[in-house]
Amino acid sequence: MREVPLSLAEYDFVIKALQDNLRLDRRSVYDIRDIKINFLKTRGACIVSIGNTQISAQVSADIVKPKDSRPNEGILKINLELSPMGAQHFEVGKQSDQGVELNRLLEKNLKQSRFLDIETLCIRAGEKVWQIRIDLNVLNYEGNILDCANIAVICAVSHFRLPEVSVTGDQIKIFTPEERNPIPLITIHMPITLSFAFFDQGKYLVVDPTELEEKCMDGKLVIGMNRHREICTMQLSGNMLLLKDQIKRCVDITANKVAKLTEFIQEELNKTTSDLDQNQSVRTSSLADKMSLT
Amino acid sequence: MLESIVALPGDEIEIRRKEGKELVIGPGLRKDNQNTIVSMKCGLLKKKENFFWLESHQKRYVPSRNEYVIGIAVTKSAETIKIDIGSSEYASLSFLAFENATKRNKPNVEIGDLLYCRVLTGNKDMEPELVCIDAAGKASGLGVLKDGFMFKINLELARRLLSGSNQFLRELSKNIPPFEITIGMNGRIWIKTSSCKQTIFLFQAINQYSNVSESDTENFIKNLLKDYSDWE
Repeated sequence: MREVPLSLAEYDFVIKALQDNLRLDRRSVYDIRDIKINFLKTRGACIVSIGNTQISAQVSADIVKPKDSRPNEGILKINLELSPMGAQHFEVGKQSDQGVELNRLLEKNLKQSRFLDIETLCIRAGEKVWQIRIDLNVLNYEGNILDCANIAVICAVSHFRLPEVSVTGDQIKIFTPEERNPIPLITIHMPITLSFAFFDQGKYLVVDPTELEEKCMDGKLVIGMNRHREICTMQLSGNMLLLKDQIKRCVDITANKVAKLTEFIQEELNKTTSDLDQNQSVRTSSLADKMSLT
Repeated sequence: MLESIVALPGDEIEIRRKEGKELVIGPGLRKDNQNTIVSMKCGLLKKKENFFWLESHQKRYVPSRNEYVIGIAVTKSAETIKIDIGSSEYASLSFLAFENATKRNKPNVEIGDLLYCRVLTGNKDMEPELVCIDAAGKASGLGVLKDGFMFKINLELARRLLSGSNQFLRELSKNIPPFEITIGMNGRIWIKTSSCKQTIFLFQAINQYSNVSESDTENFIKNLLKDYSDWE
């Protein structure tokens, strides 16, 4: 299905409201919508929502042959799927421009900033390494998929446990969870993205744009940063120019938000880890079980 | 109207009706081969005399004749305008279907404009056709909606707000500055107020109202107004 067109009335109103510093959900322009992280019972699965935007993430691991150019590095794959479940204009199968951009940005932010220590995923150099694959599905789309998906990847990966492997001579043995406790993946830092939408040639700025705001915006600035204030990604899209000061201001806002978000994610992770440790027997339940319960 | 049977797709619906009158089944219900009534979506079974239908939170609009809808102009050609009314296909609106329009004197419609129109043909095998005049050739409120703000709600809420017995908008408007509102059967609402704050207030109030029952309306409005005065 095609996308619902944007009417002039909606566009004019969004701009007019911004002139008064107002947004349709009564947020201030620098506020992020409520974030909810819901870890599922299986390791490495979670559903993250920002407002009404909802994304599910599932981590899986495989043993594959490494790339010839990097024989001692594991492989990290991130795959974001925009299915019609999220919005009527998302199509199955072929990747839209938006899909390509989002996948690329996630890859840039997480893979290229070495979020996961992929050298620890090596089992035997040049022969066998772990491939970690993260499948993301947009369950509902109401703007700002990127930030939501990014948090979902971080949470799912931190939540995941990899089976332990021992190498003796030519023999590689993978232990079941009953034999030996699976081990967490080693993450180096948490690069969190924040999206800014600009209106009226950069005159107005909002953080965490909704679907309507995304339709009305002139351009978007994405900044990925970890809590040490190291910038991992920066992308400006749309047809608009920004001043140096504006970008600096956005970086400051990001630093502030990232500090809070990192703390929040850490807290949620600690909560679920202690829950899971107490109740090891739930390991067998699946995504479907959890969905039917909630 | 008080029956509250929850139906799931495929459920057999037992219908008790008065003898002698013809049974009419509406949206969401279908008669299958064995002469039983089967539901086709999930919702609440509603009835009015011998008319039965299912009410659900559907969002997809299916055009049907003589319904009033709000559309967005998508493309213009020499004779017609293509309009998005939320149905699976764009609807067409002739330039001549406006008040006082002639071949020389065409109404001024821009792409992206909102139009309040009546569905002339809503056939499942044909493109929906719209008009902006009544039977007498008068506009009677139909036509381009200037300024304001438009948003989408589910179809059930639109029908609820439009029904004569619903007091929500009537009660609400007694307590806030005057505003203009147009509700389309396709789940689109256009509002025009004197301030952005009031528009946002109405937008949120109507959205929240979809989860409020008829009997709670009074209390709900009271809370809304309190919240509004706090915000201001």
